[in-house]
Amino acid sequence: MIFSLLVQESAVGRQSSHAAYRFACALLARGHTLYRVFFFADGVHNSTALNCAASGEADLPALWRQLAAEHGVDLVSCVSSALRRGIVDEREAARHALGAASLRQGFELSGLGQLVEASIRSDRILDFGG
Amino acid sequence: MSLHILCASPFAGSCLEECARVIAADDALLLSGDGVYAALGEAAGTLHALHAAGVTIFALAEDCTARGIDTRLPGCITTVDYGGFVDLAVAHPRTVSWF
Amino acid sequence: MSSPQTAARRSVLVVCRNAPYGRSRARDAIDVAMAFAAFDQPVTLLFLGDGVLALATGQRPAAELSRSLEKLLGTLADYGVEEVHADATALAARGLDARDLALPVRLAGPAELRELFDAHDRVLTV
Repeated sequence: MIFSLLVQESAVGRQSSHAAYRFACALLARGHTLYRVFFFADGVHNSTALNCAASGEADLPALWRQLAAEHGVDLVSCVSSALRRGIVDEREAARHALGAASLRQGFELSGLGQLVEASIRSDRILDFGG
Repeated sequence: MSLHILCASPFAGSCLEECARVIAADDALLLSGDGVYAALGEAAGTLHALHAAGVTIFALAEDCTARGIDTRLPGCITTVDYGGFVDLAVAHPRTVSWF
Repeated sequence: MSSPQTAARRSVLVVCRNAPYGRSRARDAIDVAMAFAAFDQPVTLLFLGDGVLALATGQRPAAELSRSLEKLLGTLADYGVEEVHADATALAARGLDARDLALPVRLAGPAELRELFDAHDRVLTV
């Protein structure tokens, strides 16, 4: 079965994106396909390159990146959510004359159309927030 | 058939109450994150009523254990791991998250 | 990245359970619903619980803090979101009725709510 996930909260201070990651690992272990993880609203903080995980805490941006690299998962952060929150790729950083890019390699900025497409292409789409 | 996923404490807001108004008899309910606190007190009463009406109720074991309530779960709740969570999502064409 | 396959259509129920302005979730829910409509997917927007407060008329947010959700609601039909429903029980609990709302919506009692959830392939809570 093909799954996609919608992640709506930051990995810091909230459990839901950790639950999303655990669910992602479990579905892959069960032999299913994870097509896309779409990060929306505060969920875009999962795509930062500039975090420093505390010792003993999961580094979720790094874990998502590793999962995507190993299993070919598409990681997309909603561009309008991301820009507002200072998650920018090189192109947006240049376009808006910002000091630096902050999007972690392996993630892509795109619009809500990618959430729509994930919903169409996937057998199941699960929603992690709160 | 829907899998309803309760992700917030029922004592902190109205998600269990709203879920209970919408859930159907052949649906399943999974308690995850702070949602596992629905196993306690008055919220457990709502779970018993849902169970009696035909809803199957599950809870993520590690979230119960983390919160120290794994020994206080009512009999109407079956614990699952994340693999079991995946199996529930496969078995139910629609998932509804409550947070 | 390919664009959405408009030949495939899966109906989506977008659920908003948050009041406006304190958090941006009501605005986010409307954006998500509009995105599905823009790609020709059948979409219904449901305001449940505190989400019904996003429908109240007379909203006048300070310009620098937020754009008016009421104005945005007025454009829903223009963007293809024609099915807008509100939880009748939640409205009554908050002392609101249809006259207090910024746009005409279908009021849903408990049975209608269950039917709404059953009628859609996907449910996304925003």
